[in-house]
Amino acid sequence: MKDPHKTLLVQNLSKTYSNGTKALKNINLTIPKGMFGLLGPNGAGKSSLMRTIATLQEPDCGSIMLGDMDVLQQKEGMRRVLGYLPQEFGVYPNISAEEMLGHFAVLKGISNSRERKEAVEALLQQTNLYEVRKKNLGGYSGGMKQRFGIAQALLGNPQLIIVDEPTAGLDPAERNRFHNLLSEISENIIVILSTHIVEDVTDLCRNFAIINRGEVLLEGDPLQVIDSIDGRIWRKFIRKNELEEHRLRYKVISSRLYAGQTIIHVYSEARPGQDFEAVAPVLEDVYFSKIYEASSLQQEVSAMS
Amino acid sequence: MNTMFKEILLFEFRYRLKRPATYIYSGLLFLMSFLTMLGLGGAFGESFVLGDDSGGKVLANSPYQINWIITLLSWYGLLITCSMMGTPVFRDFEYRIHPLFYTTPISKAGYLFGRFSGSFLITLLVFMGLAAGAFLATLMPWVEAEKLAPFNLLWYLQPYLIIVIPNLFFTGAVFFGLGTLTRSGLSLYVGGIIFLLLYVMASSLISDLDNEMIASLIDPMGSAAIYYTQRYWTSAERNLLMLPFSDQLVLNRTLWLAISLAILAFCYNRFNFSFANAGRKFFRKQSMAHTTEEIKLTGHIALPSVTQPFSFKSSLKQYFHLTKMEFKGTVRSIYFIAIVTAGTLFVFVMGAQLGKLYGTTVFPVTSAVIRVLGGSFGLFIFIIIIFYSGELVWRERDKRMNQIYDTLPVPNWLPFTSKLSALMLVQVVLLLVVMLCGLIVQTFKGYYRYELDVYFTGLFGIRLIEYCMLIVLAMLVQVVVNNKYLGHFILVVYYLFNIFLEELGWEHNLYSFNSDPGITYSAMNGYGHFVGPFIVYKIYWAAFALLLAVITNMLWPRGTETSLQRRFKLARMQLTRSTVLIAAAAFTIFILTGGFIFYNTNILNVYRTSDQQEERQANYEKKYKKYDAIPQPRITDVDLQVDIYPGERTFSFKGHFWIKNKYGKPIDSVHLHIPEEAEIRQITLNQPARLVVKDEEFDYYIYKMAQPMRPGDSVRLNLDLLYETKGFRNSGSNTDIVYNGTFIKNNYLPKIGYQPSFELSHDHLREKYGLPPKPYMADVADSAARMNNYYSNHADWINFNAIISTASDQIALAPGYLQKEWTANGRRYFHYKMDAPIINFYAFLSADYAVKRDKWIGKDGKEVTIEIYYHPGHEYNLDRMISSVKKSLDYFTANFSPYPHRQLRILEFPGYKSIAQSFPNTIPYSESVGFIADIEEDEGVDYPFYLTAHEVAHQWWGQQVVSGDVQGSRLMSETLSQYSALMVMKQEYGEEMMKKFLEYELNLYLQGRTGEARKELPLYRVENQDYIHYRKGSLVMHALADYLGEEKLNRALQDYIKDVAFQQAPYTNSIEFLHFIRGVTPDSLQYLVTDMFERITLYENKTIEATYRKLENDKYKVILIVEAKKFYADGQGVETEAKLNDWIDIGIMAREKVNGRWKDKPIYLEKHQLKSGVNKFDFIVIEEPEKAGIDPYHLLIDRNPDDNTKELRASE
Repeated sequence: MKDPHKTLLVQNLSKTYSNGTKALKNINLTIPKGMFGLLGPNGAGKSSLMRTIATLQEPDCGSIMLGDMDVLQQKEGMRRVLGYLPQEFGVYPNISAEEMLGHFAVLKGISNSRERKEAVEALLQQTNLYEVRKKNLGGYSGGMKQRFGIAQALLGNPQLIIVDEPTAGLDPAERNRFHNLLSEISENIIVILSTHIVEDVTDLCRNFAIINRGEVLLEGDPLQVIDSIDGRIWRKFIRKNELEEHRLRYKVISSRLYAGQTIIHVYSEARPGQDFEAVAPVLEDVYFSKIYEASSLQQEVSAMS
Repeated sequence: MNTMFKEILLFEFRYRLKRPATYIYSGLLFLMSFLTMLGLGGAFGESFVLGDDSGGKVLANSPYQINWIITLLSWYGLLITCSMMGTPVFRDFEYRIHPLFYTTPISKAGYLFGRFSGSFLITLLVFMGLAAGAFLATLMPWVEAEKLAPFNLLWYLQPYLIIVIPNLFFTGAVFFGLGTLTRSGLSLYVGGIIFLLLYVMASSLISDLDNEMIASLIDPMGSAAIYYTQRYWTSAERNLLMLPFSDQLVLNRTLWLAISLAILAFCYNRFNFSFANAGRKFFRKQSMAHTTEEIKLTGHIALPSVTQPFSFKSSLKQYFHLTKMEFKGTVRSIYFIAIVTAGTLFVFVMGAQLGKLYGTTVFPVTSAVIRVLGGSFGLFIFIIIIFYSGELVWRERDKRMNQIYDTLPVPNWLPFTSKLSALMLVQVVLLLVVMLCGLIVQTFKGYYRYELDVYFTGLFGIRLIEYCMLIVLAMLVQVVVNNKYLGHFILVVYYLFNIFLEELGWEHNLYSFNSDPGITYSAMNGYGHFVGPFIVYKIYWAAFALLLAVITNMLWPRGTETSLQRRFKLARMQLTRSTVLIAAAAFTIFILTGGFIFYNTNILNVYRTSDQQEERQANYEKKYKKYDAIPQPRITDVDLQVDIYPGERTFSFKGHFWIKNKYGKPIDSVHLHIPEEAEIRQITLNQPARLVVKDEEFDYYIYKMAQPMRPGDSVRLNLDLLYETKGFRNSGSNTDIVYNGTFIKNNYLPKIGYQPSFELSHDHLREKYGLPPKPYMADVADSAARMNNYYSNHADWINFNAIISTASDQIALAPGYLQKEWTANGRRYFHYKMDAPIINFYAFLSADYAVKRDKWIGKDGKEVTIEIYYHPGHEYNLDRMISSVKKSLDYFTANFSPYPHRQLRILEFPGYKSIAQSFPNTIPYSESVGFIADIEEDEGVDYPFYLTAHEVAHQWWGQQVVSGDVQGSRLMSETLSQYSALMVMKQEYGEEMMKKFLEYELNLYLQGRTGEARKELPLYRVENQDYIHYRKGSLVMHALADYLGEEKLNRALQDYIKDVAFQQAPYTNSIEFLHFIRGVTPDSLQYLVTDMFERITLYENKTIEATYRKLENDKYKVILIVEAKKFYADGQGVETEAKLNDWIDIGIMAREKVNGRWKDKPIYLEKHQLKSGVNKFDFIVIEEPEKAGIDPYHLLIDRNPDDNTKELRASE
């Protein structure tokens, strides 16, 4: 019944909000089965994109196809195969997890009560909420609430799951557990994970895209893109007051403090100077170099105009 | 600290000055005040008056009105205060900025009071909108100039000083405390509503308190104190005087200021000024203890496989599920329970007051219970609908679950319809609560005839429908405006707008949402003929509501972009086949029923707006005034066959009048007025005559006779009129002809000559149509007007004969003696005939009656049959009525004159009117007065007894003594009937009951005169002024009986009757009557007759000091200092002090125990001649005195009767 090779195809998607913000600019993405990371700084348009895919808002133009289903026209159809965990959500405080999940199950169309009960129970087990299933949601901690959120997203037989910044505010253990859960799920279906944490993508995703200011900067396999900049990232320890000078001279894509000194990463085809040493790039370097590129491009554009 | 306070205050002030809400609120208050002032100024047509009474010539911008505008509207502003004053500290927490503040070196006092003061000032500024709105409205061109006084700035400012600022301080302190300590928006909001509800409840309780001082004190908003201060102010005073610093006001304001300070102190004390401040939400759940959980990896995740059969059937299942969920969420919410509990308490309070009249209650019959309880609970239901329509529409978004909900695979119609259904279900629950309360009230009052069917139709057949429609509207508003609080506000405005709708001339129910022609229950007639039109109207509006629902559903916000513009775009995508089908079906039903209604109201029946009605009256006058008072023949004989068809609500008159030329010259034409509803099947004269004017627009017909009638000639006027009820009307459905309980008066029969009674009577309306002003009634001495009596201008005394037929299960009645009764063609026939001439005032009644019979035998052996025709089930007070009839006949025949008839009948009719009326030997009596009164011994006034006596007295005053149609005529009919009933009641129940009765009468008189729309007249010139001819009349006649002696007064009345009973024109007037009274009045008391009948006299008597000392001979010496003042008022209530040289009672009372109760017992009571001002007395009495004073039994009209007597103080 299900098409195992369904992919989500986003084409030429653009959106400008009524206040003039250009949230999405001609987005094109091909998202296959498995976990897909959507990486970008805060305000990059990740949430706008996810909400658009999740039928919550309309784009100005463009199309979204899931297999051969036109999502924008067949919202009802999309909703039937969608699991969605928004970035921010609340709960009814005076209702238990079990009851609430049962309620969502009804609304997801699971009308057989035995099936519904089994599904709710299994999901509570999987999300490790079974012990507290009778407790009111109002008393849940942030992590428990987040797991409850994923449980409701998994209800039914979703073919596409969208999770928007799910690990923000979780402690490392919770986050770890959450990742395990996601990677398990993504074996058979499309999971879109939006995040601004690069490791999340490295750890979990077979495909990803970098999005910034409403534009896709890069799309691909994390390992491949890391390969593509191999040998072009250089590191140097400098003093803090030298940072400005280096910024002017090199393509400094990132800087951070390490043991009181500042380490900068520089993007360059060849070794930029004596005191630079080559480093094996990680996805973070890709990310920062892409952001750097985009922002310098924009500076040029604005300088020209 | 000082600069800090100032800094914080200014910060708050400036911050608020930048918030749009500040301007919105101010604008709203401005608008409300502006509109109210326009209304007062007559810009919407007939103007009204705010305050404790309606009517009255109070100017729109008088200090009295400005004060009420600002006071009343500032109550509505309570919710504004709530949101302005509750938020200043709470806001910091909401925006999570409090850690920043609490770590700065500001003091707690500086922070709290700075915020409070800043918000207080800005809120006061917002409330200034009221004065500005009121003032600006007076400058508008639509306000009638004669409604305005010259501008006076102080009149606008004073209410702020006395009312608004202290109230704002109090409510501000309450809400500031609530917001600061609970830190929950919802607690604050609900707190505001509960405060308002409690206040409304408390004020209705307060108004029942006997102790006025306590009532004034415990009202936190001060309105009771204002009310009691201004209660008896006349129009002149209201137009001129500002609110004085009365004791009540000063004490009230001081008390509540102190309480406000205490609240602030409490808030300061409890407020924890630290970072870890958690707040103190009511109802907040404790957070679950953080359990450290082991992270276990479950290996492989098997997503449970499920089936999702998306179909209409499963959607339906989801709908029921969601409805249940929303319903449970609503009724389980603590706020819902709080509002319902408050409402239930309120309902019980109202239930305890059910139907009080003169302190007596009626039985809690189900229809009254529904009316009173349902009505008072209605306010709570309205609030619940407004509040929860917002809550339900916003539920997901408030809990930030909307994104999850909106992506669920449910059809678009599901969320809206389930919420709509849930809120409707809530109403069912609420109405069940009302029903339960009603049953409890009935049980507690010992009334066990529950009439569940009446409950069901009244609550679920009528009210529920109304509420459901309102819910649809409320949801539409919430969805369209997409701002919960704005939505609430719009709905409140909608309610106000509905009130103005009629003022704007939009009277047709076809365009007033959810309206109907009314549906009234009567025990005799059930819901009767009201049901059909009601259902049609409700189908009409239900179809409209369905259209609204479809629109609401299409605009339902789903997704994260909720601007209306976006939703309109998306709505187009939702035009599915089923949506279009439903909308089309609703539209078709709407149009079809609308057309049907229009056919009934405007084609089958005549529809006129009030303006059109007025215009018609004006044109009638313009066209036919020329015929006013031309000689016309007068009716001398009435001989009719009346056929009543209750089931079809049809009746007809066949028969004739004999009309006679009673003038000294010939009459050549007969002018007739025949009601427009009549189908004229025949009108002929038994002489050759020609119809020369046939004006169907004004129902005016002129027959010109070939041979003029010579003086003394009579002509027979044959008539055959059919009254059919066709369809239904927009309003004012005819309740005279009904299924059970028909009551048709002779105004359905032709009138002869021009009828001045159809003319417009209000001068401002007359002016509008270019008519000269006219006196409301002819002058008391107008000899031309005295040629007619006040019953009609075309008859004097008539012979009466009638055959009435009705349905086989009903009894038909008319004045007269039953000659014969028979059945033919399945109908019952009754032949009635009067054996002596009667006034031209008769009626025909028909209903399914039970009959109770008795008889009275006079001292001379004359027998009078007493019969009560009543609705089976209404047996409660029949014995009282019969006893009252007998005692009345006893007293009246002994003191006035013989009873001219051989029978006296009381006939019950449906409670569409709450009156009793006296026709010759026949008294129709509404089911709602007396028949269901619940009289407990020693409690209140036995009003079935009193009312019956009053109506029996009309068999003398009104049936024998008939006044000319001039001022003062009501003195001889109503005042004397009132006096007669009072005397019968005194004989039956004693002085104590009289006192209670007169207390009510005094209060009603004093209140009545404040609402006088034209001018107050002295009793002998009284026009149609209830408060004078009933209320003042009772007081005056009671005092007169005391001053002259009952026997002497009755002798004067007896002589008067002898002189004028059954007289022909010219008819008597009050001047003649007073002549008889003066005849038995000694010279020393002639002034009293003048003061009581010919002037408006008010006393201000009080006891200043009263002490006593025990003497050696075991006697007591009493020293009494009293003050006496007398005022004459003019028609507008302007008073001038008069020289007083009057005889007034001075009394000393002891106490004695009678039947276990303490009662006053006079040990000294004499009339003394007092001078204006202070008078001093000393007396020796033999018993220990308790109280003493001036006019202790309140014979004279005094606005503060309570200070007449004083407890005596012992002195050495």
